[in-house]
Amino acid sequence: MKKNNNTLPTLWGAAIIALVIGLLLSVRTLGGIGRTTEIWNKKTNEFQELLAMREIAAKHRNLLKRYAQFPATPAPLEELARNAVPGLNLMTRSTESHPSVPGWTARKVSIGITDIMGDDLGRFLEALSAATPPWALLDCTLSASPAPGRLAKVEMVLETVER
Amino acid sequence: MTTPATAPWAKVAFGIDLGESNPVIIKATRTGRSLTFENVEADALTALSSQSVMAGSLLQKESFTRWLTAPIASAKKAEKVFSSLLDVQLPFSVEDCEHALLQTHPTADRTGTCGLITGARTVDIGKRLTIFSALGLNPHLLDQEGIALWTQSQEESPFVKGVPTARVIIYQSMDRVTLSIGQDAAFLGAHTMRQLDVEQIHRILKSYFQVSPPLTQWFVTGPDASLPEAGESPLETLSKRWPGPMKLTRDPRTFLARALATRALTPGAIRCNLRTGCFLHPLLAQRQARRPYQWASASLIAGLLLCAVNVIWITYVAHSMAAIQKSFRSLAIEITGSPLGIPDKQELLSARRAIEAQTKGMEPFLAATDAPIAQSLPVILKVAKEEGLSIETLTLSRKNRVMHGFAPKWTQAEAACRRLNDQGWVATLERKDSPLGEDRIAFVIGLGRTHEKK
Repeated sequence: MKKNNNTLPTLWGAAIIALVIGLLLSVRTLGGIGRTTEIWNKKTNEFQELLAMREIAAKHRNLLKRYAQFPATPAPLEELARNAVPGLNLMTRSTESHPSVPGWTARKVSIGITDIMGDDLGRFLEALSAATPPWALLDCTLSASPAPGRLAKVEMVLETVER
Repeated sequence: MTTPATAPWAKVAFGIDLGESNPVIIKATRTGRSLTFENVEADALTALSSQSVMAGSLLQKESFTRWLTAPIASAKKAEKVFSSLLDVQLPFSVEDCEHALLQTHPTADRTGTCGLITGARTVDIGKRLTIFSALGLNPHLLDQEGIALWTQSQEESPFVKGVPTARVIIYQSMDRVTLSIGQDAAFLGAHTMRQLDVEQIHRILKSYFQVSPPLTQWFVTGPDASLPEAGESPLETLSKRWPGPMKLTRDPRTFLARALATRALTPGAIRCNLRTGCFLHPLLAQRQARRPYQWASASLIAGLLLCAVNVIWITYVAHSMAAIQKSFRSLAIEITGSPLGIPDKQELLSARRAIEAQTKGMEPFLAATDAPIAQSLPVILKVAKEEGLSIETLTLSRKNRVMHGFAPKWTQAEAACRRLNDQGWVATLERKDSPLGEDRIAFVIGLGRTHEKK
């Protein structure tokens, strides 16, 4: 087997260069593994957070889509009360409005009811949540009446949205 | 101590026992870890494949074996002086022979190193090769007869630990009788004579064993080997002087040829090839010359592989990072709804801000959907009614959920509290002083949700 005199030194030279470069790259890779893992874990966690946020955003979008199908203004409270409990008198204490998401306004109403049967109050609350758009009960304070099954006073803060 | 086979690259070895009579040739084929042997004629050696090797031997009379002791505990350092020690012992210059150190072990007091050396005069190697050449043979390897006999005997009848045993292998052929002597598993030395001479063998054994060993194993082998029949025979006399069992080896005619082939193909104790230096077979010389190229090529491939693995890893990491960043950005754009408004690397922050703003704006929508207070009220009223509690006031708001009331018995207030706990609240019951004239027990129940529990 005849070989050029320079073949072996050239082969060894190339081998040494390849090994040195390979080792340097390995040192770099091994040194960077900790940092890469750290970045990877951080990115994965942040990605999970973004996925959770996407779910929230989707929930918001779906909710808005549902509300868009409702009438632009909610049913008046008095009408809801009359339909749920005939003869029920509401005393509106205050009404305030503030902007919600673009295109929508939130309306908050404080009302008072005196001398009401507990069951009637339940029916009224059902009517509030079944309305389109629904009325949300934010606060509620009840005072008992000496008469069984009745409530002397009910103070409620209700909220709804309108376009 | 195991040493590599003399031709580890070969798959087939031809062992040639060439005395002054016709050669005995054995073909050994390696299959997995075992060898298969077959008798062949000399014409089988005319066309050898590249994976075949021909192993002959130097006769005991043409070669020597010596145990030397160097006064150096380090085997590595001792190896360097064995050549000089051998020079002193030989009747000819060490430069005139090919020799090999086969084995070392520390001396009994561990202050020195013993080494087994075998060798042959160059002139004898040349003569031996000429004899082979006359038959049209050119063996790749030249082993040492005495050592080959010893290792084959150990191969076929391994030493069993127990009683210290001497072992003597007597090889008999028309032209020579060769003795290979050892103790337990250790080779001690080898000798040769023209014909079986009991007195000489006795003297040789006496030189190795000042005190007779309890047992001497006799193995008789060679083309002319036969066990003594009843009556006075030389071997019978020997086994009486050195008592122990005397056996004929398996297929004694091919014993040495089998030994040579086995030693060429398999690693084991004290392997050697004395066809070295200027006598080196051209094929082995070629293999030796190729070795630096093979090492350099292997190193180059290893280096390139190392580079490739690293480059692949770096590219993979960069690609994965870019991909996750791309997904990250598209998710953030989907959440914020503003493809142009997100500065680079601000995706998460922008998404968080967008979600916070959205959630705040969506509060009135969410309050109506979740309706925690509207759902709680009927449940609380129902529990209070069923447990016979009178509610004085009940306040339900996002921050405050408290029920003031009276219970006919404390146990009823406790039962109501338990039921509210079962429904998912964290209800805390507190007793209050009842007003004068009030028989019932005043209580306060505070209500929290389980997720609010800290």
